[in-house]
Amino acid sequence: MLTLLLSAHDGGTAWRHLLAPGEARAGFESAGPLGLARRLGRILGIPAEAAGAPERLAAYTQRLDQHDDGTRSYSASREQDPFGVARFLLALRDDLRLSGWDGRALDGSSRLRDLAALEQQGTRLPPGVPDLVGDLIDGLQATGKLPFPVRVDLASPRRAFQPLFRRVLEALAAAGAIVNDPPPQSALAVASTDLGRLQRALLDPEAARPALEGDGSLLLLEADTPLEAAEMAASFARTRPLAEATFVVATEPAMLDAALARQGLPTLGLSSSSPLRPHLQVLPLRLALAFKPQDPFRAAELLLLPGAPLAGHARRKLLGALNQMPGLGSPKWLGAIEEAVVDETAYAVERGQEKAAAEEDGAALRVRIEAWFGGELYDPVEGIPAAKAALLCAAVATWAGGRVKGTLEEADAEPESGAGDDTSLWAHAAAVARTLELLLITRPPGEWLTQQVLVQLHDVAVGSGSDLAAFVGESGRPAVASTPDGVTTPSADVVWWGFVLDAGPGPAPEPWTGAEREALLRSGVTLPTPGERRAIEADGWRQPILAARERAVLVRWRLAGAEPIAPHAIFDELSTRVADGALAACATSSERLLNGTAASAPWKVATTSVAPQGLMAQRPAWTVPPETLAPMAKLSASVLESYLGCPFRWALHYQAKLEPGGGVNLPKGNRLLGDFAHRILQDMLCGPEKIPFAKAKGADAGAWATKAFDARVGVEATPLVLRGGEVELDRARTLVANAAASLLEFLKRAGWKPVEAEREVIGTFAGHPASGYIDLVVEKDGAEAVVDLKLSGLKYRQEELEAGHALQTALYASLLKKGGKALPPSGFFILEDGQFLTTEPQAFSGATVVDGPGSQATLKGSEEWFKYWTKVLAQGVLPVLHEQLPWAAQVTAAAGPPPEEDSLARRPPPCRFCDYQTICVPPAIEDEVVGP
Amino acid sequence: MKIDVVSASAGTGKTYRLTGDLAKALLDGSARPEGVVAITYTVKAAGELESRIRARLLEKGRADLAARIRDGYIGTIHSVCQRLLREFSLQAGLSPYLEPIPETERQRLFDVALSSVLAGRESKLNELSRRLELEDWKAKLLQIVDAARANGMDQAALQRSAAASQAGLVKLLGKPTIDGPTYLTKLKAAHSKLQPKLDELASGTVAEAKKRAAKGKKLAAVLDRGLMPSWKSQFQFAGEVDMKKLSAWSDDFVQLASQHLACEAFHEDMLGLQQALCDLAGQALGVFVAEKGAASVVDFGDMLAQAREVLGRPAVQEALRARLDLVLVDEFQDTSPLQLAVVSALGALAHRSIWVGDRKQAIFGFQGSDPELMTAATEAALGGRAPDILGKSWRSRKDLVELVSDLFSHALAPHGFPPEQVRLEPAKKDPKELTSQPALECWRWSKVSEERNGHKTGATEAHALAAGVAELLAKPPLVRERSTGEVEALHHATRRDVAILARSNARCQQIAEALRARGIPAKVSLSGVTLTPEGVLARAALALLADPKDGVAALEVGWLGGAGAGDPDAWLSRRLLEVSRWRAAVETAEKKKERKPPLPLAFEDDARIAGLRKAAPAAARLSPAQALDLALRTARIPDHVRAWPEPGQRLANLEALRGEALAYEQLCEAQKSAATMLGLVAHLTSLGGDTDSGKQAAPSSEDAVTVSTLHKAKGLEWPVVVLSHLDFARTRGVFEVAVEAAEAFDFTRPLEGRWVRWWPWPYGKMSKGLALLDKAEKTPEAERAASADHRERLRLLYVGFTRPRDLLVLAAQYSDEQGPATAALDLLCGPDGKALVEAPFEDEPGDRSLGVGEVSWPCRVRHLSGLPPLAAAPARAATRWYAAAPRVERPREMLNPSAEPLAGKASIVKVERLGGRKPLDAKPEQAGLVGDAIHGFLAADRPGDPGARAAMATRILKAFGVVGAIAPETLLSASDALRAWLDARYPGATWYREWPVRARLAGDPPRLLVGEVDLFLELPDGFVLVDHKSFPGTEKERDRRLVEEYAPQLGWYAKVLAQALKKPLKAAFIHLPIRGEMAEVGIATT
Ligand code: SF4
Repeated sequence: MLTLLLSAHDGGTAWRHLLAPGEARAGFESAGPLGLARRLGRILGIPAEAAGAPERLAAYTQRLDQHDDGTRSYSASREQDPFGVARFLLALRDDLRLSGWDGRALDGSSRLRDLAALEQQGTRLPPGVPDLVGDLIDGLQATGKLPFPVRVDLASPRRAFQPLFRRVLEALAAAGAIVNDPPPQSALAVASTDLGRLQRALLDPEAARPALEGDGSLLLLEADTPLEAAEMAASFARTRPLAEATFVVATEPAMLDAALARQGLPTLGLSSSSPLRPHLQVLPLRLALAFKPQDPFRAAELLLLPGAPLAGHARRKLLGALNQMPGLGSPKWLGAIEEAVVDETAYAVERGQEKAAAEEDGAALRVRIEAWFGGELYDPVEGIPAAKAALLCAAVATWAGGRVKGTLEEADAEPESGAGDDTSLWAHAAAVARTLELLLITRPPGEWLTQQVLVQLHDVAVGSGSDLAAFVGESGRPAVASTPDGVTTPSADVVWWGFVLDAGPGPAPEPWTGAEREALLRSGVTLPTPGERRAIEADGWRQPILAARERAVLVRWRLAGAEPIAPHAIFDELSTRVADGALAACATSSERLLNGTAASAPWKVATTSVAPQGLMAQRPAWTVPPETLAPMAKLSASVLESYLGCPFRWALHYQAKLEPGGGVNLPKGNRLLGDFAHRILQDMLCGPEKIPFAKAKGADAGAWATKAFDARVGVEATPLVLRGGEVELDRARTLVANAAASLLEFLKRAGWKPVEAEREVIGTFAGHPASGYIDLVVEKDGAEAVVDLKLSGLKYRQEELEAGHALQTALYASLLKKGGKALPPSGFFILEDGQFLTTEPQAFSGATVVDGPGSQATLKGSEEWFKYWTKVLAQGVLPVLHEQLPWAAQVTAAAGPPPEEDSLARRPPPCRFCDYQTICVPPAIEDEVVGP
Repeated sequence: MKIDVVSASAGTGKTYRLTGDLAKALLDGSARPEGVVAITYTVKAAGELESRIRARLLEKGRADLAARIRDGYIGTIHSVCQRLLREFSLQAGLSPYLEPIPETERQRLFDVALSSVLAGRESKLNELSRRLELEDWKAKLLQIVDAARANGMDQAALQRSAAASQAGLVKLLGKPTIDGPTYLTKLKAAHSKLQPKLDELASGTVAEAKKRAAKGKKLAAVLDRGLMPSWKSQFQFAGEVDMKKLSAWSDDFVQLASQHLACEAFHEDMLGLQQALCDLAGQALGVFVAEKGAASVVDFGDMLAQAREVLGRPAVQEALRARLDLVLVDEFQDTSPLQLAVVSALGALAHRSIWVGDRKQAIFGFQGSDPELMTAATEAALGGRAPDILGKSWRSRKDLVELVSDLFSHALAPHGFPPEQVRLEPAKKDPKELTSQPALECWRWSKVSEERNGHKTGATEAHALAAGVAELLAKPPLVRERSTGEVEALHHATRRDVAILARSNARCQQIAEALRARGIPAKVSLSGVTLTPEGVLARAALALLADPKDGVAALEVGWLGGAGAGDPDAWLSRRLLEVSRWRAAVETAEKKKERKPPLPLAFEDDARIAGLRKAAPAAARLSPAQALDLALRTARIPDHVRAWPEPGQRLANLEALRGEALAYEQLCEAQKSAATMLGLVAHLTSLGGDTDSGKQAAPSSEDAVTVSTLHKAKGLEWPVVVLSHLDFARTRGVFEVAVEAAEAFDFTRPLEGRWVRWWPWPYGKMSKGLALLDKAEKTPEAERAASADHRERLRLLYVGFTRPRDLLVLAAQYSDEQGPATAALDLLCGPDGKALVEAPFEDEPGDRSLGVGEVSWPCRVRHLSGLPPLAAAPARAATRWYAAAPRVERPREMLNPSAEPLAGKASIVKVERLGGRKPLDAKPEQAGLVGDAIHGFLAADRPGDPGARAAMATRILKAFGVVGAIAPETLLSASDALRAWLDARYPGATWYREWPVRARLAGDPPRLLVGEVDLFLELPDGFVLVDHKSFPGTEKERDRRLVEEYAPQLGWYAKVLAQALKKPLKAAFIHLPIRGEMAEVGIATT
């Protein structure tokens, strides 16, 4: 005899409590509706494997293509979301089929008429569950009698099964199977316990509402967060024989497992599927890069994706290029490709390859880069031909398929390392790409898909994403059910993890209008009566409590993210079935358990003491080995600014080499525009196609810059041309054009001629070798001057010049000096305001003059400050100059009192632009009124 | 359609009434659960309402109704609309899977929508905005679009609005008297007269002179380009140079600038920008909606607008009319115009509506709700009937009820609130013990400062409040416990009984910090979760997981992880030395022309950091949110933050971060873009400290003082409530985007005639000495705006005054010269404008009284210091945390007989021919499927009609996609051969095909076996085991597999079957149908 324990849901292992330890059974299986179908299929030789959702959707979409003449009930929606509508209608169709619709014509509404018409369209759909079940019923009826005795024990009442499955049960009985309805529920726990009382109260609505004692047989555990609740639950689990328990795990499985692992218990090994695993991001990223403009951040994400395509060295170079010029196709990007090709070739030679073969390797890399980041680009709104998109999918599928083999080879043998897992993930990634390819190939020839629709289609192909590896639950773990009604078999303990309000609304409300309902009933469709599904749902919620023999434990948390979350809806029923407030006797919060204020701990909780620790103290100075603080051999302006601004920052960045990671720092906003605008102005004045300076007028400069801007912005500063940024783009263009005009006019008015951009200058500062690159060197009467370009920050630069802190221009002037006494003149040109700032009015007529000490004094002050710090650092004292921190006594002890607060030497630390703020001082709160 | 209106003042048991009405309707059958629409203001309130009703129905023994409650439409207006849109998506022509979008995505879509209607107008708008100093005209545009949308307007309505706005503005500006070119020429002339003088003065040492000159230069830069400088910059500059000693040079400029209001160009700019933005708004309106439609997303506004539209369709109306019984609206006063339209449309379809609310508590005008409109709607709904007024306060003590009744019945009277809608009776008696305890206190503090550690430290209200709470709780007052009894039990107030209310989130945060500085935990809804130490630590841990080379992240994880706690200097020194050594090595390598050594990863000796780097491969399989969990776990952050102050808050913040990670994933799904760890790091970094993003969690666990904004306190109550920030009195001005009401209200078309008014504000942040403003403030538009604002602030005060149960504290700064800084209370005045409250702020500490008119109530006065505490917060005790336990290596629970064969040696007993080799034409990737098909056939095949058997074989081959790889006849003949062979040897045996076996294997560790036996034959004295293998290969390979793979795999099945059948194994066979062989094998069963 084959015995099937049939429940309304598939999955879960609660059935195993039916077996005593050491017991073996042959001819026994626990199954849900799908399991039943599969078993029957095997008996009858009718394989019950449903076609994949995308395949069915593709077929249904084709039906819709044929049926949709623009006037259908769904036509308008379909314009908006073709695949969503197909999915929606297909779900309705399947639901109707499961409710017993045989596919005949329907009336009652245009929607039903359309569904029926679609049903009769074309060839048979790739089979879904209802189709398979229909076949099985037919098969059973044709067979007449089952080939061997079968018994079906229902674990859920018949009404919990959909009508079509109910018909399967009838057909089974007709074919000779014994179908047993579930026995009436009875209380399993001892009557004198809280659990026993609650069970009886639940089963008998007429019974008096009992008081509860808090004897531990019913536990309501709660904590603020899932994380803490998990630790609490694990701590309970440590005291119980887990193998005799069933855990209901509807949500947050990983959090529970982490706590079980941390407390030395067997893990459940459940994982939730996600469409957002890195493996599944390769395809959407590649598709996104097929549309213009190519977003450099997407490219960076692809380059940094774990397991990304291309060799590490090539990825690093490309990423570096994006960090300098965020645009695919920029000079830097192209340069990076060349470098990568050269290196790839060199590595091949190093590995002992022949030169020709090595060069082939290099060339192959170029092809691969092109394949991933190049190719034809499409307008997101006009779209991409389906066939072209399919080719991209095919390429990704082939690549991911290749990884399957790759990961297998790399897999190490450790059983729990999960190294093999990637194989299945890459296989899934490949399958998704193939599926999308298939969906695209079935589109009518010549169809173009907008980016939006393509991505919607991709969502269809991904479905719910991939699960982590196959099941890895550890031996000794409890039985597991993923929903409360999956607790089909009694056990000693039942733990309901995540006893919180369901995010989902439960069974979908009736989708049919009254008229539709009537029509459907007329057509032989069995529709649930109002509330029928809800009643089944509520029955299921009771299951974990009724199935416990010794303990029922309900674990909840109060916060989901930053929002409060209520207990599970059945909590209301529990409260109303026991005496007022009785549940409080069974409730324990983690906080009270931990601080010892729980009236009596319901189990022996293993805890450790955590000594209080302050948050890391803020330190005005550090002491480190002096030799690690020796300034670098060659000083550049930026290193110097850093050194003088805040030695701590300098040391962290340059001496400890604690630099930010790549990828997250792609230039944007002002930094992006500043770099780009600099290049345009420099090229306008000094580049190979420079403007004829002598003849040019301001308006010409504006026009030159506008033209260059438009020609180059797409590849050199792509973020500026992303869709939706037109307003900012226009502002940027205007800014650059105005700046170009102003700069040209200013130079001419003041009599200076451009000489060279980005000139490297070398010299010394305070006796140290120093160097730098000057934005723009200009010349008048054989003398040269320094022009430093800045996008904005007029006020800041003014203050800098006033205070004698404008080291950059001063240093450049000193490095530019070729003899003579005086330093060449210098100043800032502020693009945004079209103004030239200087302290040297005599050199630059028409400039905005700032009253400052000038370059010489600035240099001197900086040298003094530099020497002071060098003295301090030579003692190994490393000061932190944050304004919220006091001046460190060690500093004064090391090098004497510092220069006066307002002397030229002192300067404010550049905290605003610093990566290390979190280490220094937490941010202050500004009293700003928000709201009305 | 019948509408009942219930007017429920604060504390009058509104929820009780609501639940009662709804339960009654359900119980008496006048409403079906699935026919109920109940609209609440917040998600939380919806949950509570649902839970209460469910409990009520269960108590009445109506589990059937209780279960069905979830089929009703209970939720916020948005969730109700969203469900309606889903249910009627096809009728509405919408995607059936509309997803609500987060604000950031909404703005991106708006920008995208805008790009398709801009058509090059951006230059002109940018230029106009430059002259009118409108920093972000797109934000203004979105405001106009949103206002239009919130009032159900279309492009035509916006055009009408534009015209009306324009008319008002034209009137305000009057007739221009100077034409633009003349003005500009004069301006240039005046400027060039002035600038040389300024330059001259700038060469001196006066800093101001230099600044003036620089400003002048800035104007010159614009004038030189032939452009009009911004009006604000002219006006402001004029103000700065308007001084005696400059008058000879500056008079022209000053005079001209002061006339800019009369300049035609100014008028053109103002009207031009207004027109341009309104035009654009009209066009953007539709495109924005379309753009969202194409992306299958909706924002809150769309949900309402589209729901309203859907509800207007006859088919939908018909469907809903049959379904809806009762429409219940809670917090009716805060319903926005569009919501009103939806609610009335729903009401029109249902049998009955109940609107419950309190007009005195309408405080969300800034979010677009319109209390005046609501008043009109309520009156129209009532049609002359009186509303049902709940007149008893179940919340507050007698004194408080009386004070509020007296105060607000006077203050609200001029605004259309009859006393009976304001005055309440206390429902409960004060317990005896409370009679001697005042229900009111006034706390005052003074602005003083003190020199501390060389820094000037000033008093703040936040610190004064903290001091006040400390003083209060040092001798805690008695407060009542909430209960349904006649007289309530009392206890001494603890921290959780106290709430401090302020106007802004920032102020709340400061108060919370001041409380914490005194060791008083605070519960506050804060933003900036990523800026908290735990937020930084978690983000850095994730960044390190995403990029093991991220040095800043390593530094943060190390530092906040406490690696340097013992000896920070040594900790940092190790890294510095490491880099020094590396530099030396690089130098040597360079000299020797060798490959340079790589830079050592930072802080690799820190277990936390090394662990994170090691976990990177595992992270490579996770979604971004899962990766954050992994980072938290790997870096043991939860355990670590337990040691920090306020561990409950920190753990809760980690949960808030997890919430942000999910939000990021949802954002990516909404944007339909890739989601990566790197993207999540960038997302968390972008959250920053503003209020809308990166909310911190509020733990419920700690005994903490609540700090909240007044707006967020709506609907809540506490035993002790401190009203602070009373100096706050900002008003909204006439230059903000406003919605003007229709001349008359029509209940059937509540949105009819409403229009959006917007006048550009050309002076940036300036607010003083502006003729335009003075003039504008005298317009009827301004009067309307001011009076609406006045009323709203008054209602906000009402909300504040009605939060406490037992004690109300008013806190304010006080100075002898100015008195108390309580501008907010100025609104509490009679018709004569005289203040109604006399609060004893000027009095000495002790028991005084607070008066309203003739009446007064006992009031305690405290004087507090607003200076930060000198002593550090008291030391904290050790806390406890769940103990970890060592990890034990365990096998997987499910035993895989193939991967873990039973110990022992297998052997080939003999191989016999069974029908011989069968043809097979399968591609390599079909191998598995062919096997499945063979298994499938052998399991189902029974002797009988060959035609039917062949049909089954074909069906199975088709199902597995291997038609052609193997012929159906092959399957039939293999099955026949097998049967004949076995029947001959084991006649009379019972056959079991594809038979499930289940076993709980005893032992340590316990294992589970779940499998299917291909075939076994049961005989009286034992059983025979058969396994099918579709292996087609060579004999040599066959023999290897038989011994090494196939036979061992049978071991567990043999053992488990023997146990289940309680019979011994007689023989075991491997059936090779393709090779046409039967191999008997000896298998281990130990
Ligand atoms: S935040 Fe300021 S003090 Fe801290 S390292 Fe950076 S620059 Fe120095």
